[in-house]
Amino acid sequence: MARIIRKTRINDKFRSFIVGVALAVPILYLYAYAFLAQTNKSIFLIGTILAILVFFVGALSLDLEVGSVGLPNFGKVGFFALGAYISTLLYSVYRWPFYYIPGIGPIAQFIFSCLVAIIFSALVGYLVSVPTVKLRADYFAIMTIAGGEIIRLLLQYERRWFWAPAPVGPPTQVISNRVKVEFTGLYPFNQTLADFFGFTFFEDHNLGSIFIWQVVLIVIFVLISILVYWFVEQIRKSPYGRTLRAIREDDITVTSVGKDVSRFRWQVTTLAACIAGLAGIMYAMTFSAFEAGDFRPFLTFDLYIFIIIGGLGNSRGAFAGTALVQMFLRAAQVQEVKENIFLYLGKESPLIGPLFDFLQLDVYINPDNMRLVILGIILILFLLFMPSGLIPEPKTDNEKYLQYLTPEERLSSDKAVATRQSLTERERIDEEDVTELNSNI
Amino acid sequence: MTSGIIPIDIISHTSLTVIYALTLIMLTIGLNMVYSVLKFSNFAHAEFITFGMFISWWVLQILTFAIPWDSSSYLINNLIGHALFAFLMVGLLGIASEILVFSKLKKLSASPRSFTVASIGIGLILRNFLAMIFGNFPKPNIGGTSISALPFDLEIGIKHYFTRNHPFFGNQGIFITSYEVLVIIFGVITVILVDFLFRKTKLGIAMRATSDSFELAQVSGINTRKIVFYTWFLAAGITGFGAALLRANQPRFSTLDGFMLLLPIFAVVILGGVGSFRGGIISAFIIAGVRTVTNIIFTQFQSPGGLEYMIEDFFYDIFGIKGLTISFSPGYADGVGFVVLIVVLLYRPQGIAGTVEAIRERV
Amino acid sequence: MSRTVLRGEKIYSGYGKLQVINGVDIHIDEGELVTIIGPNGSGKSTLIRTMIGLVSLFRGHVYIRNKEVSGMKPHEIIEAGIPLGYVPQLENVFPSLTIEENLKMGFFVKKWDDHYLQRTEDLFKLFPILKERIKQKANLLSGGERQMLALARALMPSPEVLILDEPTAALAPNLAEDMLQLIVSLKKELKISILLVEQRAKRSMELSDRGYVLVTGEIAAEGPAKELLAEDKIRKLYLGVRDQK
Repeated sequence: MARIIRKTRINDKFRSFIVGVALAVPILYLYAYAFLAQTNKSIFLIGTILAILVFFVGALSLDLEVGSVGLPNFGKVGFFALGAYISTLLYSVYRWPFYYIPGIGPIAQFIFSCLVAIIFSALVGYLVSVPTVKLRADYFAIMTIAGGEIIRLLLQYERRWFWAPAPVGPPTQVISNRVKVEFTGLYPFNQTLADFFGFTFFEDHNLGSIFIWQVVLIVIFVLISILVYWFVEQIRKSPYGRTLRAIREDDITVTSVGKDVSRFRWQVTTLAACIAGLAGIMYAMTFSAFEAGDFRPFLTFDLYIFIIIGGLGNSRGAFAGTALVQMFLRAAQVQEVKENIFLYLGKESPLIGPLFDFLQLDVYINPDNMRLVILGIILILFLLFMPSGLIPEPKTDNEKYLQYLTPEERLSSDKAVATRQSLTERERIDEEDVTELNSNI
Repeated sequence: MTSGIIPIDIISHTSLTVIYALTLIMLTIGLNMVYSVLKFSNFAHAEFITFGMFISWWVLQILTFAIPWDSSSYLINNLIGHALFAFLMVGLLGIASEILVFSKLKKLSASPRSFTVASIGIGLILRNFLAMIFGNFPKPNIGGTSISALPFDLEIGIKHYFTRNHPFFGNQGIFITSYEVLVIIFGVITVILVDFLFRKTKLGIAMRATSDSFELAQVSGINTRKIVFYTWFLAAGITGFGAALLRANQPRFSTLDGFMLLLPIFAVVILGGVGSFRGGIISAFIIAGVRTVTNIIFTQFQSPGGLEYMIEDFFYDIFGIKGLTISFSPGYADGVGFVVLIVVLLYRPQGIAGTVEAIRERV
Repeated sequence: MSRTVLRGEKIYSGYGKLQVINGVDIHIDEGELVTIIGPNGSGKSTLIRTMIGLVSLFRGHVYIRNKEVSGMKPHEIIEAGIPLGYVPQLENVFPSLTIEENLKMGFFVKKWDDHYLQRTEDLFKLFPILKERIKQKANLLSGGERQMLALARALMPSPEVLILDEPTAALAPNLAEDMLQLIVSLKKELKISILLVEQRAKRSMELSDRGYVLVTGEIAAEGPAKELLAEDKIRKLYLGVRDQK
């Protein structure tokens, strides 16, 4: 038995390495192709990096709930929307209360609007979580998706407060975040690296020029991501995180040792809502103009794809998944890639024309849809063949804690584990394993 | 406006509500079946609807091409034929998704969350696949508004009575097309047939037994694998049937239409109670009714002199600030259904008639 | 010697990679009441679930009435007309089905015709409470009534061997005693053999003809119930009897 398990563990590592390479190489190739086809290469690269960081923070927020404590939150997009809308509206539309103070006004206003956005997200997260964390997982999923939709509908139809007043005519649904525009107009930020530092690497290699604000924005985003990453990792490593994992695996046992499971659940949901609000602020700054229609459940589904492909319950996996999928999606959107992939099957195509004429079909194999089909297929393949993702969740090292026990206690704990295992293993009837075992006996 | 006692087009609104509710019922029966037998939320159900809409439209195009001599269009434009074709095709799609994905996931004994995420993946693939094959833009609904599927014209008869100057109803306009009449007829027939299936036939009772306990069903001699296939076929098929009727009723449709219905159909299933067919019927009428009533009321609020303006005037009188108000957009109509759902679940977690407890066991 | 109705030879089985049953030989003769006892997690339920095909059999053979059923799925066993009744421990009735439909489920592979009606009438004589509540849903029944319905469902196809997995587990002590008495009377009246897995080890052993003691997937002791009851070691370890000398 032990031999078999060890062998498969090595196989698992090797397999995830192979799959990672098999997935990363084509994506990197596609991305390099798209990158080289660009006229302004640096903008493309920076856009990708920013998008990856935004969704990485969002994915961390989702992974904290799904991966750590096992709450399938499908309403994440609502907190994205709250973060983006509140920070943008406060800073760019209402400009209350600090904006017009001379000197530090805009910066104070910016910090204030971000804080309000995060606090408000947390508050809504708490309000949503209190009635829902008691529900079963599938009901929880539907209720959160409904909560997200309610938030979106409010943002979409409340024209008096959530729409942007236009200079002429009625308010518009599209909100534009003015943070980037206003700050990048300031003196050192609006210079290119070449002008300001004399650093002409990008110009020399024909990559377009990079402005200082772009570097500053990336640095800020990287710092935020690292901070959130560190924070989430600290939670995972702490006794609190162990309790969360225990709740995910078996909430009844955790209740029976006297922990208030509901309390842990709403705490995590609120915390994750905070992080999602932060990701929403980053989203607003990156994409500048957005409307309520951008915050449909698709965005949540995308986050799920990132964390499933990367590996549930671990932050590095969330990053790997986000980076790979974002690079793939962005590269497939580039005009040059599109033109190469585009395929028309229909009346006018040679040979098979009559068939398609009879079927009354005009099939356009276009990358816009094809990339999502491929993504869906990758997702399902991962669920079927590598459910733990590219980077599996690290196993908790029980030996570390077991050494504090006396031999008798240890024996009894082993027995308890074995009994518990025989209960959970009951569910895992796997034909292949059985045949493997048979051949090994 | 009408001149009778009733100030709004009550008959027209009622008929629209009934039609919406019956459409919802036809679209949710399948979701409920899958939910109760296989115990996971199938988000790909939305794309089953889209697939049904497109496949029924496509068979219409093929028929137009293949039977050019059918001048009176009884063969081409036969909505029943389209709907049955959609029933078959979407049913096969359901079986295919079971064979290709869900049965394999079951072998891995994956969690319900994995099933749900897999259904999201299937939905993603289907939606974009349909967009590639049939084009991404909203399709004009060619042939959809024709009434030649019915040998008689119902519209005239109904209109004639109600548009007269009735003392109570006033001048009610009733916009019920013969397609909507078809939806009502088929909706009622579907409800009766499915109820009969679940209560009286061996297959239906076996399905309910399987949804209660796979293991006990097996030792009673039920081939649960077969039952799962039947469930997928019937569930997806009925969805396709409803989707074909829905398609015929719309001026245009797109690959996103099914996805837009995802939340209303889940609201119906959960409000009615998972596994409860009759609860689903009641909740479909509740959701449709709430939607219509919200629509009417909020439209009234937004019209000149409505609540929206009254609030604005109120704040103007007190604070002297103009424009302090909140919008009552009819667009909220869908959202109010979710609010009802959340409130009901807080007080009755198993839904209107469900037996499944929504609360985690013993926690 | 009477005929053997259920026989397992060298059964090895388990879940996935975990082997739970390690070579068990077991047989039940006609008209016998056989009890399997053993500590928690020793594989009692797994053993009987293996014999009816719910748990995958790694090696070994299972025969019911000299017909080999090893490796068959439970519905295949029932469809082959092999006379077997099984009552699981936890989900032993269909809660959202009415009592009538539950009984129909017991008769699933046969036609619901006159024979079915005859059979229900016979069972209503045994369990009169069910007849009164025939249109009610099973989730409205009390614990004892639930067990009766479960027994009735298992008895519908007139089985020759009945397998019961802890029928008294969820019952109050007085009801549990009633249930055990009912099982004994079923054996006598219907002339069927019964395989019983029980937590109330001492009481069930007193009522049964033969017994097996299962420990960590192996048979630790077997023999006539009286002999097992008399053995000191078994009394102490598995029957929970304290010496009161």
